[in-house]
Amino acid sequence: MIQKAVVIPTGNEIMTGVVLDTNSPAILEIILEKYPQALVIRAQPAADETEEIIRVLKLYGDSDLIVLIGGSGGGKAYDPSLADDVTHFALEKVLADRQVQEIYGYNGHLWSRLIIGKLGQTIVANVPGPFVEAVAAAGVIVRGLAQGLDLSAISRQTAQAVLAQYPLGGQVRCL
Amino acid sequence: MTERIIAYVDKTVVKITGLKIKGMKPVELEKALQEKLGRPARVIGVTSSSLQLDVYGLEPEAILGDEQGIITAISLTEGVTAAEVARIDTAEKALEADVDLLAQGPVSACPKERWLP
Repeated sequence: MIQKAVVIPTGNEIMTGVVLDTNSPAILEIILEKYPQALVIRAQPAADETEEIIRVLKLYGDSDLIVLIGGSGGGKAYDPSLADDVTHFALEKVLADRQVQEIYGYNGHLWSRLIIGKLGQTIVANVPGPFVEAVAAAGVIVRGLAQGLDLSAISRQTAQAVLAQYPLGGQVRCL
Repeated sequence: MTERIIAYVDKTVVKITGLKIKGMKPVELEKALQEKLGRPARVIGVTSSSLQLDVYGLEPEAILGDEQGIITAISLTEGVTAAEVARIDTAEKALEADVDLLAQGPVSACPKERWLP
């Protein structure tokens, strides 16, 4: 049962208002649909810096669930004009019992690195920044937890949900 | 445990510069582009003056050939204004790489540079 959940958007473009954060309200709604009694918080956005994301994450260590949005791809490593996508690096540093799904494009570009694990008793997961991918991933995570699935199953289902958002039915190959 | 997946989806990466962006809703812009291009698009990067998009199933030539139409469609989205210097800076198709070369170690950086010219 989730009594307290926190949604943490990441990214300088969110912090500065260049991009309006429509992902958080949608994910709050998803959580409330399953857990109407829960305290659900949209945290202040975190900058694209590993240590800052870890700091914000630990502020909410008394939660049952934390969902971080954005920073899941290759980002600046792929193109200098893109954001520094470091959310997945931050989670890798602090989460126990991690389950990781990496989705690459056929050019080798890391599209999304999805991690779910535990920070103490808190379940922590990240979702991609694009709206449809964020909503699809969050939906699977919240429903999976409500159904009592283990983190491994939720991790796999989350990756499949994100893959399903890529258009034109491209072939998908699992390694 | 880490699992890796390669998605074979045809896309062109498009960068548009010369914009003024504040309070943009990416999902609305994606909808406007879908209507304009007849193909899905995904916003993958935003600054206060530029946009980076993935456009699926459309060749770079087709995108470059409709530069003004695309910029007009984008500028009609709330939160985006196109300056006179607005233009498509790049439109490049994602190239296929040998999947056997996919990095096997931990992800410390995007492996793109290992394969693309």
